[in-house]
This record gives sequence, structure tokens and C-alpha cells, in this order.
Amino acid sequence: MTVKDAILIIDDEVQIRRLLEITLSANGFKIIEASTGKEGVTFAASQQPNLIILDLGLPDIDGLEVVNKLREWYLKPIIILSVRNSEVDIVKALDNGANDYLTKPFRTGELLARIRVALRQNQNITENPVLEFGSLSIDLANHTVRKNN
Amino acid sequence: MNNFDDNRPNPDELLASLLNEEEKGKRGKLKIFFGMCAGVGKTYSMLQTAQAEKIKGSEIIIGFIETHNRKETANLVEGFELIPRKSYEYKSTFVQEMDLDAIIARNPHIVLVDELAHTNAPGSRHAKRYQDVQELLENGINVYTTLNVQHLESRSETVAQITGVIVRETLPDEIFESADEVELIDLTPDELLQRLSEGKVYAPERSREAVENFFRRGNITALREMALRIVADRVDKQLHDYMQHKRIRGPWKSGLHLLVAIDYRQQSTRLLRLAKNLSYSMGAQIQALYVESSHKLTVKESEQLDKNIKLAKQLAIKFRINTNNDIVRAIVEYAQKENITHIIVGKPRVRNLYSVLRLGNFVNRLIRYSGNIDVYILGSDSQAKDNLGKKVSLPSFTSGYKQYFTVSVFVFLSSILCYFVKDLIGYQAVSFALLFLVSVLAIFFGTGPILLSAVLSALIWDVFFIPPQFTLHIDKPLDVLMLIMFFIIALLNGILTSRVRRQELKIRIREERTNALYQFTKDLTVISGLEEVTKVATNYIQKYFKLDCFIFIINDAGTLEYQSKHSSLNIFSENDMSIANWVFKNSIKAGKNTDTLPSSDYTYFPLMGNNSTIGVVAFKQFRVFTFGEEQFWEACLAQITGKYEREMLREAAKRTYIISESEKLYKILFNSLSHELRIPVATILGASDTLLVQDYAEDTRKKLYNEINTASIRLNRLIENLLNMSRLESGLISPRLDWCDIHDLANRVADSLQNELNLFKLSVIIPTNMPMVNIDFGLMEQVLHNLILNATQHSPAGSRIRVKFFYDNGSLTIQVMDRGTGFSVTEIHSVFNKFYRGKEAKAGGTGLGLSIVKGFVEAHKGTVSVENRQNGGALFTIKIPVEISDINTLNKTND
Repeated sequence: MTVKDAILIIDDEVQIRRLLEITLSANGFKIIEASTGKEGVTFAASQQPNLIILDLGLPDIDGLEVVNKLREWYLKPIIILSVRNSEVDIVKALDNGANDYLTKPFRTGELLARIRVALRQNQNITENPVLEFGSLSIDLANHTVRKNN
Repeated sequence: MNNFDDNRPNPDELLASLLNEEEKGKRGKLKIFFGMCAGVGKTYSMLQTAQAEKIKGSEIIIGFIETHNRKETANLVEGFELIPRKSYEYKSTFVQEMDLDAIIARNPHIVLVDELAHTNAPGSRHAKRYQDVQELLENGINVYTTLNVQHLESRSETVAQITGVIVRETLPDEIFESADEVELIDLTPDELLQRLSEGKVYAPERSREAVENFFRRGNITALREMALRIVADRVDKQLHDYMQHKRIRGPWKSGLHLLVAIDYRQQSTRLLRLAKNLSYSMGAQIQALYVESSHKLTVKESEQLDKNIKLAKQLAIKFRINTNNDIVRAIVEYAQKENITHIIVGKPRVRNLYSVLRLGNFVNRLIRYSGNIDVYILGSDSQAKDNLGKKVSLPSFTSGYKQYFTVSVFVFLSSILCYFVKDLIGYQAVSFALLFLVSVLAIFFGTGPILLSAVLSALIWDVFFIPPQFTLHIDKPLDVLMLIMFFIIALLNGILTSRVRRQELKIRIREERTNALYQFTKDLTVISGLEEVTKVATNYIQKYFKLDCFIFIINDAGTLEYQSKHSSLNIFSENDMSIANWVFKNSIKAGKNTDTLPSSDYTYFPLMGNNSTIGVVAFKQFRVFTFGEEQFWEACLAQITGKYEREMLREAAKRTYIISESEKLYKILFNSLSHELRIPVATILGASDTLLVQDYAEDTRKKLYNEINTASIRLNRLIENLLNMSRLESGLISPRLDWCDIHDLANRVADSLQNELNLFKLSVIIPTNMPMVNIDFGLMEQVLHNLILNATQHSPAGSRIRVKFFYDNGSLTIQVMDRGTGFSVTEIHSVFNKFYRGKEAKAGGTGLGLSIVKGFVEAHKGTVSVENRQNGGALFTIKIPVEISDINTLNKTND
């Protein structure tokens, strides 16, 4: 965990946002808050957070939609934090590209641990953003593809 | 019709065969052991077959067997379960009949029932055994039964002609035709006679008598031929059906279509039977037609006509009535319309010159007009007695004495009048006046009175007017001629007019019925609700049939329920009710004037809907319906049934709607409640968990405590709201009015919403002369709290929320204004509904807040309304009637 990993919280509930803000900043994260899906997508693009905590029940667009939009370009971890606890919802969210799923009410310790896991796994990917297949190399960070350099 | 059409299976027929199969799956199967006469061994064969089936493992019982003390037969009966017969008391002797209910209750696989054509003893449920068998089949029980050829309705007359024995127990051909299997039990005449002489059929002395009367070789041969032919025809038809079923291309029966024209004479029964036989052997469809003319039927004639119609139905012949004075034209027109290939008419009996002329005319015209349609003229039966033959067919005297009296008075009065003016106009002109009178009377009175008036006026003219007066004697030959002509003209005039009138009357009756039916349909369409339908239907039946009826409709529990609430059902006994239930179950009419349970007080008709029987109508029928009335009655019932069915469907749809709506509501409530509960609980859990697991800095801990506190308040508010709602629901809210200061109220609410209001600018406007008001502080606090909270949730941060109070003329007004999104036109009416949440609403919220506002305000006998503000946002206005304290007002102003 590097110092001041930025986390974007997308949740319409002030109270949850505040709780997360208090807890996560106390654990050394930099917190960005968004109360709607649109706002969330904008912040994700402008602030480039290392991780996103996303609620599914948003007032403007559904959380799943947000995941889809983010996943068009955002490769870092997305953790869903929602009151929806049915298997269908969980499977859908994970299949749509979320890395993890927690239901509210949640335990802070568990959330922190999962954030740590997600960030750790992500390091491996982000440290090596160039995929190579024989003579073909794809640079995910720079959106470039090279052949034989 | 071309060859191509001939070779193609008719889609309707295919469909019918499919439907037949489907229908038959549920019904029991009927197997008939069919023979030419008694003694051929039908019962014996039936028992043998049953034995064989039993060995295969079928459950077979005996419902009714007549062994006729024949030893071999009696031996075969052993080993079968026998349902004991039921005894009926009839004219102080006991008669034993098959116990139908016991068999149905026993519900075997196959039941043996001997002698299908048997007539049951009075007091049994059905008049005929074949009806018992029908009921068994309906209940899914297979039936084996026996039948002799002479009992077939269509053959009974021929049998009577051959053997001289009139058969009274007959079976409608339809039953025979619908049997699933027919097994012919055949014996050569020699063998039969052998058996007879050996006493195997009857006891020896009866045998001899039987051989001399009925079992003559010629008779037996004729009956045998008849039986063989019937079975052969049946096999032929089965082959046809089979080929149709398997889509085999083959020589389809041509589209022959017979039309038999009948009238009100007994001869027609023979005509119907012959035509039916002909249709059998030709493989043709058949229908019957009666042409109603202006001829007025006597009671006997109309009875015979009803009998003929009934026979046509029994013979499974489609029946129609047309009205036309020209019988030939009516027949031909109908035949052309229905694509009839053969017209069958009876040869009228030649009695006198008139009938010779009429016959010639009738036959000639029929042949001339019928074009390419074949005409069969069947000979009249010389043996059958035409007991109606002697009646005079011209006038019929059915008018009351009153009418005779009235016409006499008219004739006398006019005569007296004429007497005074006769010198003025001459006695000959008087005849015209009288003639005119008779013609006018003919419009209003029947044939009898007109005849009387013609005779009377002729006599009066002769005696009082034609010189010499006061004698019957007439001087001038011219006057004699005048008198004769006067009489004939008066007579013809009167009769012709009354004939036209009768025709008109018949048409009018039909028209009235059509109109009545039309009116009824119209009346039915505008009403709704089962009870209304019952009311209209009962009134209608009362009006047009003069019958008091009881309508029973199936309810949700599947039992019949009496519909009307105003008249009592006390007169309806348990027994009557059980008949109603039987009719409902079997969908067959029963009761008085029917073949089933004719001894009961009421007549019962099932109300048969499209898919199932939906109810029963019962009524006291004082006389049997005529054919026309029955048609009318059935049309009415069809209307009533259709309406009931629609109503029932509508109610079912309504119920489903309510259920789905409440399910939807439940889901909404569940979702919003679970959300509302989870958020604060999640906060409390998360915060407390954080505090427990890790040691944080002081200010973080404080923040977390604060969060727990806020979340608890939120939870508490939710519980408050739910409790308030349930109090409102149970009607337990009664405001405890107390004097209170509006400033206190506003401050209290602003304090409690401190957190939420942080982001907003709240302005509270209270006029300086605001008096103390008499309200329930607690309830109003909740009202204001909910409204302001609502405003914070729907307005952008930083906007202004105004709360304005003022008092005017006995009422307190509170207005809460925000700069939020307002409400759309479609939802503004629903905002106070329970669990209603705005379409644009943010996540969270139960949809209870505003409905509680409304409930509490109404508990204060006040009103709450909402409107959109001109520059955006919502405006809630509350008006509550309040008392004010003058002293307090004074104090305030003095401050």
C-alpha cells in the first residue's frame, strides 16, 4: 500500500459516505466522494482514483451501468458496496466487471482487508501494463500496439 | 361441387372429429349389444363379454340385468357384484328400478345395464333408462347395454307395420348413433324359432302365443334384415369417419342434404322417420322445416305440431320454422338457401275435390319452382288414422262471448241509425252501410263474431229494410240477388280480413319477441355486477314469461348460490336444491315438464356458458312451452348466461388486479423499508465496528460517535413514522389540543433537523401578531418535521426553504416552500398516498412522510394541499381550524 492511495466513493447516502470517509481516511486513504453515478464517472476520469467503492442503488443511473461505463477504460479495482444481497445481483455485478462485492451492513475490518487485497492484485497489472504476444506488444497504459517494436 | 372438393376432407369435419375424440376421452364408453328381437341372446353375449373382460382384470359390476329366468343367463350372472335395485312406491305397489346413485357412488370401470329402451317407473329421476345411462357415461363409467331394433325411434313405425305390434318404449336414434361400439347379436330365424320352441326364451305356453303373434318367420326375417342394415350403415359411417380421421383420400359421401317439410298432422311423424331412414342409407345430412301460415291451429293441431317437432329433435334432425302464407315458396326458398339437394314432402290425403285441386296445385308448384332440387313425395299411410281429418279447417271459434255481444250491439245500433235515415238514402244504400260496418268489424274481431255480424246484418236488412218490411219475404228478384251478394261479400270480407290479421299477429308476436330480446340485450349491456344482472333478468322473465324464477350462480367455493336478495328462498326445499345441483352438475334441464324428475314442483334449466355451466334457473312452469316460446326462452337464457359469464370474468380480473396491486405495494414497501433500515444500521454497525477493532485518534472517534448518534436518530424517526402510520391506520389518532406558541413549534423542528438543514437556508416567517393556537403540539411537530425534511431531500443544496405561518379568521395556515424539482402533473395527485415515492426521488425514504402529514392534519380536521411554485419548487399549504386565546394575543401585542 503506497501512501495516500485515492479511493472514490460513489454512494447517494450521506451517512454511508461520511462513515467511509472517517474510517478510510483514518486508515491513510485519500477520499473522493460522489453522490450520483454521473458524478462518480466524472470524478473517476478526472481524479484517477486507485480504487472505487460503488453503491448499486444510485438515483440517476443504476450501479451496474456505472460499472459498465467505468470498465470501458478504468482497469483498477471496483468494489461494490450495496444493500442488495441476492445472488443474482452479486453475480451480475461481478460478471459486469466488479472485483468484489460487499453487502451493507458491512464490517469495517473486512472492507479494509478487501480494499487491501484489491489494491495488491492490481499492482501486478499496473506495474506491467504492456502485454506481449510474440512480436506483438500492447501498451494498455498508452493505448498503443506495436509489432516488432 | 367439383371433384377436387369431393376429394378433400372438410376442415369442419376434421375439427369435429378431433373434438369428438377429446370429448369422448372424459366420457365413459357405451357398448350396445344389438339384436333383431328378444331371445337372440343379447344379455347372454353381454355377460360373456363381461366375463372375458373380468378375467382381464376390469372392474365390472351389474347395474341391472333381466335374466327372464333363463338358466344359462342366470349362471353367467354369478360372480359379478350386483348393485341392489331401488324400490319406488307407485300406486301402492312397489316397482324396482336401477339404483343410479349407488352405481355412480360405486364408480366401477364397467357397469352392465340391460334393456336400454326401458321406461322407468314414475318417481325415478329420469323417465327413460337411456337417460340414466347418459348420466353414467357423463360420470366416466363405461356401460354395456342391450337393445332391440324395434326400439329405435326411427324404426318403430316400420316395425309396427310389419308386426302389428305398436312399440311404446323407443330410443332416440341419437343415443344409438353416439354409441362407441355396437355389437350385432345375430341368429338365423330357424335357430331363433328352435330356441323358442325349446322354451329357452319364454315359458312354453307363452312361447306358443309368441310364435303365433310376433315371432312369425316373416316378421323375424324382416326385423333381421332391418338390424343387419342398421349395423351395416353404421359400419359404413365408421369407415367414412375413419378415412376422414386418417386423411385417407377415398370416395367421400356426396354432399347430399335432405329437407323434409312437415306440418301439424300426425302423418308428419311417419314422414320424419322415413326421411331419417333415407338419410341413413344415403349418408345425407337432414333437416326439417315447418312453414307457419295464417292457418289458425286448433289446440290438438298445435299439440301434434309440438310432438312432431319433438320427434324431429329425437331423430337428431335439425329443425326450423318459417312464416309464409305460400308454403311452396317458403320451402323452395329455404331449400335454395341451405343448398338442399332433396326435398321430401308427404302426399296429402285426397278427401274431396278441394283437396284434389290443392294437392295438384301444391305438387305441381313445388316441382315447377324447385328447379334442380329433387322432390320426393312419400305416400300417405293408409293404416295410420288421421284423427284430425274430420275437423273443419276453415274458421275456428275461439273468440269470447263478449266479442259476439259487442258485434251484435254494433250491428243493432247501426241498423237503428239506418232505419231512421232509410227514407233519405234508400234501403239499398243501407246494405252498403252495413257491409262497411262488417268490414270494419273484421279488423278488430275474430272469425266467429264476423260471421255472426254478417248473418245478423243480412237478416236485419232483409226483414227491416227490403220491402215488404217486417217479413223475410222479398218481392224483387233483384233484391234477392242483392241479399245473396251482400251475404257472400260480408262473409268473405270478414274471413279474409281476420286471416290477414292472424298472420299479422303471428309476425307481431315474433317481432315482439325479437324486440324484447333486443331490449333485454341492451338493458344487460348497461348494467354491471352479478346482483344487478339477476335483478334485470328476473324482472325480464317476470315481464315476458310471467314466471317467477330463482337464479343460482356458482360461487368461488364451487357451490350454487341463490342470487337475489330481496325475495326469500324459504319455499325452496332441500330436495329442490339438490335437483338444482343435479342440473348444474349434468347440464341438462330437469323438473316439471321434462323427462327428468318430472314430479318436482319447479322446472330447472342449466345456464350453460362457453366453457362450463355457470348456474341454474328454476321456476314454476304452469304449462309446457310451445316451440316458439322455448326458442325465445333459450335465447333469453343464452343472453343471461353470457352476461353472467362476462360479469364473472370481470370480477375475476378485478380480483387479480387487486392482488397484483397489493403485491406491488408490498414489494415497494419491503424494498424501501429494508433500504431505510439498512442504511442507519449499516452506519451504526460500521462505526461501532471500527471503534471496537482499532484504536483511532480522539477526533476520529468523536466523528464516529456522532455518526452513530445521527443514524440512531434516523432509525428512531423511521420507527416513529411507522408507528404513527399504524396509529392513523387503526384510527386511534385523536389530537390532544393544547395552547401552544408557533415560535416554539418552529424552533423545535428546526433544532431536530439541524443536520439536514446545514446545507440549506431556512427562513421561518411568523407575523408579529400571531396568536397562541389550540393544537396538538406533538402531531404538528411531526407534520412540520416531515414537510421540511421532505423539502431538504428534494431541493438542491444551498437553496432556500421558507416556512410561513399566519392566522386568519379561525384558521391557521402553514406553508412550506422549497426550490426543488417540484412535482410532475401526473404524480402531484399521488404525493400524499401511502408508500408513494416520487419518480425522481433519491434512494431512501419510505413514502410515508407525506401520508402521515395528511393523516395528522386531517386528524385536526384540516386540509393539506400541494402545488408547484411558479419559479420552480413545491408549495405545501396546510389549513387547520383553530381556536385562539385572546388574552395571549393581547399579551403578545403588548410585549
